[in-house]
Amino acid sequence: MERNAVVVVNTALDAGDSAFALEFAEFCAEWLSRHAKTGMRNRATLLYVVESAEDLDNAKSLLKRLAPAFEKRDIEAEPLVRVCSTERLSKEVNALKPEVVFLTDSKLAKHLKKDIIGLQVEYPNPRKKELRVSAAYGAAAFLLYAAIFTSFGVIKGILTQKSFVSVALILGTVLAVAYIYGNTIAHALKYLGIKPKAH
Amino acid sequence: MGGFVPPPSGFEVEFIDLTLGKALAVALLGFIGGTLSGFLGSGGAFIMTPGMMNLGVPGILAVGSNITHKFGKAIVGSRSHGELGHVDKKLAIMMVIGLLAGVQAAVKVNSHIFESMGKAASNLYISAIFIIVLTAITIVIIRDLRRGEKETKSGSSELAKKIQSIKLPPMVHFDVARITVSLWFPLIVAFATGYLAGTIGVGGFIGVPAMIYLLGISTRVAAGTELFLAIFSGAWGAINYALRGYVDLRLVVLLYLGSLIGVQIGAIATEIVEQRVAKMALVTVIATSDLGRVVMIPEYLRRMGYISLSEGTGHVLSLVSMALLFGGALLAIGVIFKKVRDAAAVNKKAPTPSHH
Repeated sequence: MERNAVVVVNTALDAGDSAFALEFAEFCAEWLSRHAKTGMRNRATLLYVVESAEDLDNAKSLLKRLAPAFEKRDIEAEPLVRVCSTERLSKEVNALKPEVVFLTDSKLAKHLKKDIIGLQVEYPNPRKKELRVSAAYGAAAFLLYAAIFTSFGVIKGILTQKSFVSVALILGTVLAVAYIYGNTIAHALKYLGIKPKAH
Repeated sequence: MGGFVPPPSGFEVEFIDLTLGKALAVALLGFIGGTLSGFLGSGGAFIMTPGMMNLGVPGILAVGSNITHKFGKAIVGSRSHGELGHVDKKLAIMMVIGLLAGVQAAVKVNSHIFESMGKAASNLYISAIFIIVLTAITIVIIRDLRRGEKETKSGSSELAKKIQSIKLPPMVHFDVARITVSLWFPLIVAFATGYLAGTIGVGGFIGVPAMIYLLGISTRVAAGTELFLAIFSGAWGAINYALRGYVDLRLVVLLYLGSLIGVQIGAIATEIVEQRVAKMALVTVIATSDLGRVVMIPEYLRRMGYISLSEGTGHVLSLVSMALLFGGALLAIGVIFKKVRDAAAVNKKAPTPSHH
């Protein structure tokens, strides 16, 4: 028994990040292995549509880098590059008669979804989540900074009391700012694909 | 702490009028200090404290705010810092005693000078300590650069062996650090580190080399133990300065604004820039910061009434001091960024796929 899957590589390149394409390939290969019945052979077509023949070499080189993710799990990976408009991408996918189609949550993928056949498996870009988390922490940090500067008159009154209340206010605020603003930066870095360093 | 008595009201600290320009300058100081700290492991205080003093912040307030800034960073950073696994807990616990005593003594001396003699005397005292420490570090790094690292390391381990051979009771064995030494030496190192942390906000930069060269502890254990100690010195310093009203919360949060970004950029740069360039960047920053403090000495003496200088000359000295401090730091960061850019340009030559 053979299962025919199509990995729509173009949907992983919307963000202009080739590292994400590798993560996407790992996800697809892992999914196929995990969802395979006994005796089932998986075959994955790595489809990449380029609009100009000049991009052919680059496309082939990228697909060559994605193939090992499948091969190491005993999945036959067939790189396929087509030169045509991305408008025709859904037709190219359907022509392969896939049982499973792998897409990301990119704009292109959303556009394709309604036109393609087969079971659709979506890989959400985890970095988008990082951006959302960073923005949430950033908003909280902004509010905290705004509160400190707009109410500094009141805060100054407490600070000059030279009491344990002023110590608690300082240490509490400092820890809150370091934590919230620190997370804003850390998640923004993760979104950019950089592992934040502890210092 | 329970017996704390508010200081007698002599001179009272004044929070500066924080204009937008000054606020941005403090955030920039945080960024420069953070970048250097991320790049070199520590050393942000060399820039942040004198930089805030150049902006008109009383020295004691600059130190109090900087040590509070370090405390929050140490707490948050320690959550995920792998080096915390290399702490010699026995050594750390014993050193905490000396460290807290050092911080406490420093805060008392700093406060006493400020409250009894005023802002200029306090600035003069903090600047003098800065000059001594920064000059010593500048000399050591320049010698290190000229000699090469190997020779320095072997010479230093000899000193550690001599110290370990002094059998002054009680002798204590530290399992993780793998040393047997008289307890007095870690206590002295801890007290000195705490005193400097409490006086000028520079702790780890002295503590780590002291543990390596004087006590013979490995770099990893020294760095891990120092990180652990930094939380205590930062917390104790912050509590003591805050109890005396010497922490400006606005300055602390503005420092974070730049430093938390800078520290990440500096850490990334360490993977690209070679050690020798790092040391040259460091010595540039320290030497110019040192000169910046030296230039301010006549101005502080004028304000105290010990020498006569026109107010215009004092203003010029302040500007020269600020130019030295920012100029040196920006030059060092410029070199780091140039190296990073060069490395990125080399990487760009590798073929990359086109994207749609």
